[in-house]
Amino acid sequence: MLGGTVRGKRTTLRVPVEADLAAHARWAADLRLRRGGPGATWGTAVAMATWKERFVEQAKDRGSVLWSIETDGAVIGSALVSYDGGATADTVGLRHFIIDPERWHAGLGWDAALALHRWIFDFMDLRLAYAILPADNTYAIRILERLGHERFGLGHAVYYRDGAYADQEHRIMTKDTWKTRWGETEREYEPLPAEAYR
Amino acid sequence: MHGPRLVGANGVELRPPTQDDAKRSAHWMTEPGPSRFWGSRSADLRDEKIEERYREGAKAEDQVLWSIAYEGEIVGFTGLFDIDWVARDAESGVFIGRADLYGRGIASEAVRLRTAFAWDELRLHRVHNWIALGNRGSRRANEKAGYRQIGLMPNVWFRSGEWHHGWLGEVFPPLEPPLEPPIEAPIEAIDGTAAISPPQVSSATEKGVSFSDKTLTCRDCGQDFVWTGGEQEFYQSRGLVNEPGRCPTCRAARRSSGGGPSAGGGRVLGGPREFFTATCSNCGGEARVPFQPRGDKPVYCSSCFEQVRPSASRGAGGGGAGH
Repeated sequence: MLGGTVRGKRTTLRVPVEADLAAHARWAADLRLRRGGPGATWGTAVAMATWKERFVEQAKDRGSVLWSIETDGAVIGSALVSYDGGATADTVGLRHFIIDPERWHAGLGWDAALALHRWIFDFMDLRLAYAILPADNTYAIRILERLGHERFGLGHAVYYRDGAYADQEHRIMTKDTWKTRWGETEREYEPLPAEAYR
Repeated sequence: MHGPRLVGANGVELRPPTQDDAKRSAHWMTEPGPSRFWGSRSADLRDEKIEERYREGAKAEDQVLWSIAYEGEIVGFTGLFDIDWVARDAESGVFIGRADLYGRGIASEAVRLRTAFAWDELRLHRVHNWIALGNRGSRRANEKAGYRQIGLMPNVWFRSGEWHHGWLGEVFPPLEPPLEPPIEAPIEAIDGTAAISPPQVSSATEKGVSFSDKTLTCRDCGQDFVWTGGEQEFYQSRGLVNEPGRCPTCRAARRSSGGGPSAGGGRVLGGPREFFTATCSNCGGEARVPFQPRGDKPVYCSSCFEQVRPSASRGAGGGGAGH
């Protein structure tokens, strides 16, 4: 599926459109992003026609949701989550979350990640979110820790690049953690007034 | 793709799956016993769908699938999935569909065969898996093959009103720390027609740009064996700079006999030990010692050394010839 609008303070997750294809293809070919651990499909650089097909296939896939991330009218990243848990599907994996390297170190990744987790817990009421990523992706790990993800596993020598293996972090965040840390401040909608229920 | 036939012990075999096996497996997964720790017990079970999935599985280049046969009868399946051919990592799974055969070591033998195939044929670098923590039989089967726990995902598996944790494990190829210094002499080419110099470690090689297979000679059996580029890459990734001294067969034999550094019985560094002959200062007999006698200190044969060495040093460290 393609994800609808989720507003952060400075970024917006929105439906990917054809005009985003060039940016997606460019990011897929960027080694700075590829070493961050993107998923196999979205981390593979191929022809534009294939990217268009991917968007079509993605739109049909009921098991995952793709967004483009935008700020000030420019597309600056993308996010993909997939549902796990079989028929209950109460868990999502953060398959892919990237911010254009030219926009790094401006807090945009944090803003978009917070908005995405609000969608996961506040809007979808999912039970768990998890992420599996290279242990040396310190920017992403810092964001996950700030959100409330905790490490539950460490795979050894998983990713091979630059002539050496890097370890793999497994992180998880529960709905309870969201409620405790962000439940009061990150509601998408204000509580309805009592008369709304009459 | 489908894996080849692998014959194991105790009547267990891995076989390339047939369409009939695929249908049997699909129906096992709808049964309460086998599906306690696997799947949602619901699937599209129409024959044409099962056949379609079977064909897709045969074509997929990121997985290797087997049926498990026990005493000639198909009883389950196993495989390596989501193979990442760049990182050479894969996820594994094993499923025994016949609940009446649990506890016979079938899964253990299947996992052993599968894991050996991952190292010896696919040259994978790592295999990992997820198992419901309460599925002790599966965990034991994997642990026997070398899997070690690296994580525990809380509350991921729901059965009968309870949440179960997910056990995350990984396994690596067996590795004997190399005992030899880098080979400096020319190595005979594989076809025996020319001698080639061993590649020098360059900055490019250090960065893992290229590794080519090398033919080495086993110091135990004297047979040539190929040290593959993949193995060299793995050694480098672990910071190991020396080449292996023994062929895989001798390495395995040595391990199984309790030898090698992991058993605490071997030297860790250095090349083949060189011995020198001298005259024992005590009994006048021949003494073979691992150092060049300088003549300024007494040299003893093994028997005499046992009698004269300080008691404090007895029992400390491995044996060796006399000093």
